[in-house]
Amino acid sequence: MELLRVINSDTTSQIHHEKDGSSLPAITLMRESKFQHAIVVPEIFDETFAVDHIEAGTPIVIALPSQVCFAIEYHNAAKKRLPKHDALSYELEPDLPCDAEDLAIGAIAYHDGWLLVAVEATRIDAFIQVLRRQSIIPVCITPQLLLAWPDIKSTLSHEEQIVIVEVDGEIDLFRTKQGMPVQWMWLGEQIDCLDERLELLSGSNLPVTAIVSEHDPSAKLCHWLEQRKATDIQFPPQVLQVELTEQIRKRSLRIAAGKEVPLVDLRVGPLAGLTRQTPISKMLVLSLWSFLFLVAALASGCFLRAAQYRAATASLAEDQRAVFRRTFAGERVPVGITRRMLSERRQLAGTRGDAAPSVLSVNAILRAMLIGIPQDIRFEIDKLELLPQQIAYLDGVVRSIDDAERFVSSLRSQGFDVRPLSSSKTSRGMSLKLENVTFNSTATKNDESVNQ
Amino acid sequence: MNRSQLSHEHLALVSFVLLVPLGLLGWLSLQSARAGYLDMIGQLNECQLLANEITSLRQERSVASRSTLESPLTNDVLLTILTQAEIDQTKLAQIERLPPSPIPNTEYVRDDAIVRLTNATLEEVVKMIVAADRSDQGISATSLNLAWPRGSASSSSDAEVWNVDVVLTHLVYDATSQSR
Repeated sequence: MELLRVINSDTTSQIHHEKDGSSLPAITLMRESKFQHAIVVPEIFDETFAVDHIEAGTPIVIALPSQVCFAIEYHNAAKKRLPKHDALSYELEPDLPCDAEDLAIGAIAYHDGWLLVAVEATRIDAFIQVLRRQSIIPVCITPQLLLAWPDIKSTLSHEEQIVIVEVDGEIDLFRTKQGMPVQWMWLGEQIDCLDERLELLSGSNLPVTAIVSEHDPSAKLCHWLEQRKATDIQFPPQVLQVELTEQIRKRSLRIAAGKEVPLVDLRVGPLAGLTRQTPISKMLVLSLWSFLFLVAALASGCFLRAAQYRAATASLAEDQRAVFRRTFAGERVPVGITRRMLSERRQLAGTRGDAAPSVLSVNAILRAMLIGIPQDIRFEIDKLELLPQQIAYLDGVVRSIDDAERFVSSLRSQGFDVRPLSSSKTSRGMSLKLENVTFNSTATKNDESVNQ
Repeated sequence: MNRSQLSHEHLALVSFVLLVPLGLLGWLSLQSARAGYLDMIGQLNECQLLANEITSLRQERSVASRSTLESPLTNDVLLTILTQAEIDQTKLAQIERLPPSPIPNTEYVRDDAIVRLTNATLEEVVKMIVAADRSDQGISATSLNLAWPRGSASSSSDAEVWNVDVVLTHLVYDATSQSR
């Protein structure tokens, strides 16, 4: 049993560490099989702890026995906030018999400081691993006496006092302020040093309440209480009986069900990973790595395939340039090959072939007219205007109206659409005038004409 | 949970943060490259088709010029036509060029030139029209005016001679005049 008192330059901490080196008590297991939740109070934290009877996935509360916990009274005038967990661990490391990395520290705040409750993670690591292998999820890790603190608190009647808790013959000593624990010491069965401990807690003159669980106080405790009653007339010690084990069980079930929040939860620091996903964390990590491998493989495949596409695209571009060079020999290959070829095709389509509108020649109508004019009559033509599909104007003379009719009839036979003729007598004979005589012949190049 | 496992998870998270954008980048790169490849295939096919069409069109007879500057209605060509029609150049009275006129609803422009002859025989006129039509340069005689020369004694002349106006037309393709 030892007491560590640490006074730093800017920090005042009182650290009470109790460790008697004796072997731990036998396994105590409390389990409510009828309920969904179970409470496990391990006292031997090794792989021999059997959890086969607990169903996988059951949320449990790990209630730590007092002897594995550290209780530290922490005051820091310079800091209004509690340092972060890691900083706190390293701050406390020089005064604790374990590494800072192994400390899981929880804090209970009171009006001018904190009661730090810590556990060495490596001590319960084997047990945690057993639980994890069984896919059992601890929803809370907390000292078992603190689970019953609401019930202890309800018995307190003084602003500041000493609470002695005896469970199964083991003694825990608390100094409380306004109902909250500010100092905590575990004495085990060594009740002989109770006065000495009270002196350390500056609690010699404070009122004392003794809480015993289920049975009457032990003889040693009764003796001490009698002595106290004789010396402390103002505040004689009270003795109360509280079913702590049952209360711890009920509180644990409520916490496991999520209906109540513990006073302190030690799933912090090295125990921070204990979540509902913890039992499947390996699978999750494995899945994540598999996914990442898949992503990496896909990314590699994408880049590889993209490179192949680009190479193929370059080859096709070279083919395209070759097509252009074959088509436009001697020309410089432009940037927009397709656009250049489209332009060329458009120009060629417009200037060659049948795309252009037909331009009719007067050749056909002149030929038809020359064939159509009768050879055996005399006539004179003074003026003739021919368009590809019509005789725009014809002015001439014939000898008689009969010759005029024969002239017109002959033209009609060649496809000229000549209306009935008007004729008048002139000095040279009968006048012959035709205007806008249309010509319909299959000899024309095309039905379309731009020569209107 | 021990520290090695934590670091494992952190490493996995860091890898996740790095690899997922990398994967996304790879996918985008692939999509871009694939789109470029497909586009290039389309372009190559189009170019091959265009090349075939261009080769085929080049073998077709020219029916129009690409611009008025390239019009074949030059004086040299006109004189050649007269020569082919065996018309003495002394009968050529005038060559009058008309301003290019767009053909409605097409992308073509008419380029017209009036060749004015005096004392030409009908045979010469016919030969000239045929010579113009037969030229490979898309020239057509689109109008013919024959007039008996004033003051001449029609009955006294053995040969029938005329004052002739022949309009020779050539098409010019003007793709900018109207989109097809």
